[in-house]
Amino acid sequence: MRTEHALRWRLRGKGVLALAAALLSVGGGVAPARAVEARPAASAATRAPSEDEVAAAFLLNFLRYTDWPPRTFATADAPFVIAVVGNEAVATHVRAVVAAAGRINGRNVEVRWIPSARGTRAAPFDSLPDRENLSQLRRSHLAFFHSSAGDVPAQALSDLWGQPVLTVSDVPDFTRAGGMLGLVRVSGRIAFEANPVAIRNARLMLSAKVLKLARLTGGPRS
Amino acid sequence: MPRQRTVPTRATRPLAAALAIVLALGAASAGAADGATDPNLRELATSSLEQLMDIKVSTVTGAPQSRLASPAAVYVISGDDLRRSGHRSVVEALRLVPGMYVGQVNASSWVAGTRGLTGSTITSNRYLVLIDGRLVYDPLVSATFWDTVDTPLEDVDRIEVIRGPGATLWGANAMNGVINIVTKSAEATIGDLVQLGTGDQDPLGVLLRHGATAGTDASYRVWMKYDRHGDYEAMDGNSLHDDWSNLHGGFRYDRQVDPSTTLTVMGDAYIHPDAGESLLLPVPGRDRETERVTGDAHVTGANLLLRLNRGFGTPDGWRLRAYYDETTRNDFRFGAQRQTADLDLRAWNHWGERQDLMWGAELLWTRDRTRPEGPVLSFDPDARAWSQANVFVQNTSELVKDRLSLMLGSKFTWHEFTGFDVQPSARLWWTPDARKTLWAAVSRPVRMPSRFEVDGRLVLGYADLGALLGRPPNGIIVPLEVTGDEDLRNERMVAWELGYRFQPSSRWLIEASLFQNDYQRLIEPAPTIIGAFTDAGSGRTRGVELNASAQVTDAWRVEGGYSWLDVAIDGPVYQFEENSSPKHMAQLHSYLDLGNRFELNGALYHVDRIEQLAVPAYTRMDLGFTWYPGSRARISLWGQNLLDAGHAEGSGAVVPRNLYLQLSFDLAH
Repeated sequence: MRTEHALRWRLRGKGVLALAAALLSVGGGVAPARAVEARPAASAATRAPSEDEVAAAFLLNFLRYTDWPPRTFATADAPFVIAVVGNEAVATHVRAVVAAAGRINGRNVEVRWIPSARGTRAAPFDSLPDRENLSQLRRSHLAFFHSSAGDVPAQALSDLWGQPVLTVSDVPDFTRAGGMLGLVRVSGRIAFEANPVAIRNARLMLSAKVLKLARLTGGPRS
Repeated sequence: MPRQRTVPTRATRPLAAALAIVLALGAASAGAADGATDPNLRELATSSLEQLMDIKVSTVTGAPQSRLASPAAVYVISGDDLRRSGHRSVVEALRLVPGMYVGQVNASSWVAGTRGLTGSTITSNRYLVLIDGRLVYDPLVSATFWDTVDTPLEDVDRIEVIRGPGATLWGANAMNGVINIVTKSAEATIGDLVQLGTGDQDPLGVLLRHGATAGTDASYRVWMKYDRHGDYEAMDGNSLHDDWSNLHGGFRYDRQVDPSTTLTVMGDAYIHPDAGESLLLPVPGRDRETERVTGDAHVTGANLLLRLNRGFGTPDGWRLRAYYDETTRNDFRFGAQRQTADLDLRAWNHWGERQDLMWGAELLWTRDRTRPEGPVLSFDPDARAWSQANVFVQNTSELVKDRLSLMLGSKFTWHEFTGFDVQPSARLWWTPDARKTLWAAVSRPVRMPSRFEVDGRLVLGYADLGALLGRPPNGIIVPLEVTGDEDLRNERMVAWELGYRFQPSSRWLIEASLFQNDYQRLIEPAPTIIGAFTDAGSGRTRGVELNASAQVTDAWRVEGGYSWLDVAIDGPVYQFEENSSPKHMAQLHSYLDLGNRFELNGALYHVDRIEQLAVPAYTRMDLGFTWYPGSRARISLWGQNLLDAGHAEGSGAVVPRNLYLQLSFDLAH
């Protein structure tokens, strides 16, 4: 149906080479070399961190002050694994803070995202590969249930009961429901509650220093 | 006879070099503002518990994203709302957006748009449609072929609709809005999905999707869908012979290259094995004669997109995106094959104590080849390649901490048809407390004429010259056509917007926006239609959009929306667009969970009459019932247009009452 029309688009040599050069330079910047800090020291200042970033920093501290049984690490070099259940933004923030921290107790920290969003039917434990998600949680050291995933499914908590996985959440009344550490807001600041029974049951040792700072709930598992 | 012209060879070479320098500079500066060595994050990451417990956390703006995403009349259709609306395509789902007019013309085409001037067969629409940043709006005729916007709805994470100028962030032609369809990342679609649907209007719909991880840092999905759509009937009851089918497949691959960098590659390809159409075409050389032509059009397309993202959602980062897109559409009116290539880099930095700067550069190249003999629509030259470059800069300052922010920005565009133009915009938003936000904006977007408006020739009919002049026929047959004008300049608009968002309690949300758009150099057909496009038009649109959302009980959510629009067009142009949009539109949605296994979802839409097209007002009700027999299955039955046997929405088909049943299974590995 079309008549032949000889149209030739000639690559404008120089322009394309320049573009290619730009692309390569950008590509080179991808590998995260510890780039030279080009920012002047004066601007290294007070930008208020978001709630998700502060929560991520709490998670790092929990990693620092908890002892896991040696069998939870495949090798002496194996990393900590944090599983984040929530929306993508939360996972990104956790990853950013984790990247800024470097090693914790000599180990790297890996973040695995288990996607979920508020109010969806497709919450990870109700539909899709729930078995796969639960096994991911069981293989992690710290499971962070963010409120963006809605309420923490009781099934997940009961499945993790007794497993050496530190469960943390910012969903209200988490520790009363059997979770180990719950992040709460108290007059504009973040504090945390702890459930020592749940922690002990998991054969995890949380430093006394941390427990002292926590608001303790003795709640039995629901 | 068509004039022969050489394609002007503008200064593409120095332009590309200039852009390359900008890109290189950008890469250098973005590399320095590396999220991983952000001193604030480092400090936070090494803080002790006591220090962390001492930090006051911001409630209002929250994540850095919300500072960058300045308030506008944005409406987000979440993946869940999409599923609970019962709509089976992206364009139908746009009905959920308050102020968005969606009119189905026939089985495979729709007119959609917001804030008036939504286009028709001879006029353009003035908004952008993108899928993950890739343009699916066709620049050849400045319209969107919605039958090719066919992303599987299961893969859609959300649809973001910006009503009003797309600020400085989006491409040119985003005068009245931007519709961005964002798909889920591959991590979110791991598993095997099988979906089957059948209904009386759409006899078959199949979706197969497989998603899996690829190592510890990457995941992917591949999918394929096949849909058959039945034909529609015209007002007189005759079939429009517009049944069509679509075979579409694609993939997406996401990789976490390092903690702050993600790589995404995605692509898809489609073909329409059936693309029925039945048209009345003017017979050349005969006085006002038409013949009916029935058959199948040929529609195919394929695209590939690559995206590299660093520090997404954090205050400092950059994103590089490149894509290639090819579409072919050959029907009885015209034939066109179009290729587009795009390269886009944007970066954002947090600087000072309360400043966020975003800037970017984009190079877009398009080439098309059209069928010279039309017969209805042809172009001169029939093949053309052109490019467009955009540079934008936008700075958001927090003037008063947590209370008042100001965004100033501008986009600089160079387009091969019309040269250089500037699109500034300013936005101010005030948050007196955590529950309320008041915002105001003024922008000056532009729209470049489409290839049709510049080089096109649309034959509406043929007539005897004598008869046309009121004299006896003299045997000279002339074409009655709308032609392009290569001297058209960019359309300009000044948009004034005001908005308010209020959350009376955690269960309620109310939003309102007002706007007035003043158009200059409006490109419209000549006053008598026949003749060349002219930019002598001017116009004014104004309106209000309201929506409210209430979580009435834990299991029941209700949403409502209303919009009002007034359009006035002046100048020596064909003014039909004054009356081609409905004045009032309203909708009500109810989402009810019945226990853990059942859902009852319903929607009521009301669209006012469209004078120009003699389409009466209509009210439409959709009702759907969903059952979850187990954790891996979902069955839903939807009835659409339940209130009457059929109604017209645009000039064309009658949209009938119909039922649709869909089964969805997540298979275990």
